[in-house]
Amino acid sequence: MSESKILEKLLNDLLKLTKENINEDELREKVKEEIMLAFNEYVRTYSVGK
Amino acid sequence: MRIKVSMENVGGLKGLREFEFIKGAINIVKAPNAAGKSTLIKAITLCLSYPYESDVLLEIARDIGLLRQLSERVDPLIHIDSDFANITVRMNGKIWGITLSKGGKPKLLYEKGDERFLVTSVITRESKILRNLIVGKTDFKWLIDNVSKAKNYDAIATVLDEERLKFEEMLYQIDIRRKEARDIMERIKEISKAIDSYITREQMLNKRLSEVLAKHPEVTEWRERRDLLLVKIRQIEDEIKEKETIKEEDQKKLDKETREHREKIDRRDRLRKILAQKINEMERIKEQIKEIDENLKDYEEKIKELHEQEVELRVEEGKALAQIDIYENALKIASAMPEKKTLCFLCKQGYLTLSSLEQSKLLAENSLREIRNKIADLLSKRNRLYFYRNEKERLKKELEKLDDEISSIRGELDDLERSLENYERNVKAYMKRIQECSKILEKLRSDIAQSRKEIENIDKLIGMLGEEEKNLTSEISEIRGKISLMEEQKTNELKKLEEISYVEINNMSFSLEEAYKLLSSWLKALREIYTYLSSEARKERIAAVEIFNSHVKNVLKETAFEYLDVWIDPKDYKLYMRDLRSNNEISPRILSETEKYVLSFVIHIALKLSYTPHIPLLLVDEVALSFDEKRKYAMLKYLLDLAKENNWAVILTELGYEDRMTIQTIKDL
Repeated sequence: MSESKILEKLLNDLLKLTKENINEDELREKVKEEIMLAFNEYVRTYSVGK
Repeated sequence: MRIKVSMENVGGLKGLREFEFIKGAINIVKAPNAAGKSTLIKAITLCLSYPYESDVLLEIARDIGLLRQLSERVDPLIHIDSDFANITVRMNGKIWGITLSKGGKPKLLYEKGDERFLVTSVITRESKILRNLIVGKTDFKWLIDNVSKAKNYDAIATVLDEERLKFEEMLYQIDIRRKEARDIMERIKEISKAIDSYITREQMLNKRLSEVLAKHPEVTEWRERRDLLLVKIRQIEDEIKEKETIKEEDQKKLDKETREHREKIDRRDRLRKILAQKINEMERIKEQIKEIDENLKDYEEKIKELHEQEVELRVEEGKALAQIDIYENALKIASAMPEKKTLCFLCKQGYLTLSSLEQSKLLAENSLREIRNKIADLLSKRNRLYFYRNEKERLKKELEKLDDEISSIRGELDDLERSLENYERNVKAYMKRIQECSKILEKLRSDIAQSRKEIENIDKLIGMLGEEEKNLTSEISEIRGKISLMEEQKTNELKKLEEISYVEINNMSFSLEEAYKLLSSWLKALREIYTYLSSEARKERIAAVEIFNSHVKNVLKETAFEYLDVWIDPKDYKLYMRDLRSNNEISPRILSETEKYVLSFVIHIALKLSYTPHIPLLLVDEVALSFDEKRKYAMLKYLLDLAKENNWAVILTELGYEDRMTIQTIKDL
């Protein structure tokens, strides 16, 4: 996946979370998780492409 | 068409209660005070709005008595005599259910409620909107946030921003290292520049030195000779060291031999003394044996004679004992006789008196004593003979032992003598070697001195060539030292640079520049997402405000407030009012209490129409109490229109005067 695709996916995943009825703590955890997953993927992709 | 509500042990209503409400109509619940009207409204509200994701809405639910406050011990909706309460609402083919237990969290049984129902579909005197209006608070951002998805966008954007700060910190740390690396590289550049300049200077000096030396070609020869001599000196020094080691070892061996030699001489002298003592001892014992032999002359005859004499004396002794025995018996008999005498036991004719018998016994006893003395004397003589014989045996053994000891000492003395003779030979050998080594060493030292003197002479010759060469050589040497020092500094700086030039991100190694670029682009993307989410949140709020503003205008018109304009400003999310008659903006503070109630009613209806029209229930708890007849009628008419138009069941509570709770359905007015 390219870097721009990773960011697009992150944004979509975060937008999906806005539609979910979950409490604030759960939401925080999910957002952190999504960001970390995207960052890991971003680093991997960057590393391959460098 | 119907909405069924069942409640078990809720509030003041013990046991199971069931209610039915008609959609498209107003359902008026009438009952006296404290009969459970508000309880019914609260139970339906909780069932259709639980669970609360928003802290603001949870707080409202607690404030209006749907849930227990954290500081309270009593659950407001559970009957005082019960440990639990059940609430169920059935409508549109779906079921919402909730179980409350004392001290526990509410348990959802079926469908999840919509938390917005709490602020959009319930009009009570305890409503937060009404309370805010009463005290003049017009900030509606909390409401807009909770009826729209804006709070979700905001929450996500906030977390994103917090995470972004962590990455910013990472980037900052990497940037510090980049600066550090740049400083090191700058230093390396400076050092390299300095090294290059010193090398140029060294080359220049070497050239100059070659020129100086070219004028004196003999110097090269001298230098070669000097180097040769230095090599020779080093070789001789090694040889000296070797010879000194040999000499030292020989000296050590010689010292050891001498020490042992002295010890052996001492031992020999001691042994000689002991030998003389032993020989004397042996002579003395031989003399003793000779004396004993004299005493033991005719030993066998003497022993035989003494034995015979003993036999005779033992016979005499027996006789004397027998006589004494006889006299003792006779004495006993005579003592027993009245005449104190007895017939002679030898002649059997005369009489023996007590005194004569005692005298005879005494004589016999004396005779026995003499005999025994003779026996003792005889035994003493024989024992003495026995002693001499044993003593002679003992002395013989002692003599044998001494003989053995003397032989052993003589053997050891012979060994020592031989060893002492060897010492002389060994000492001579060591001395010879040491002397040889000393001679060689003397020769070697003389060679070194000679070589050094020659070097001194060469140095003098070179020195005489002039100060210039000397200065050049010294400067070249100094420059070489500096270059070496700087090379070392450069190596250290390169090592430092290598250590900080790479960073690990997610177990992957990146150069500082790569890591910086990676994090910068990642942060740029996060910032863009943050901006997008914030803008979406704002859009959500504006959309929520716009829909509210459009509905509130209609509601005002329908409720005979057409002279009023009420709206929420999307810039600050505050509620504003304008009297259209005077075209003046007015503050809710100036409204009368009844007007505030009416305004709260209007806002709630607008909220319901804006955000939860799909939930077919509108709950109105005794709000109408404050309205005058005309406005009450207008309000009922409007509610009925809404109920019909949206197919809602409007539940309205009212003070009733009958003892029991009744439900009146109004389909027409």
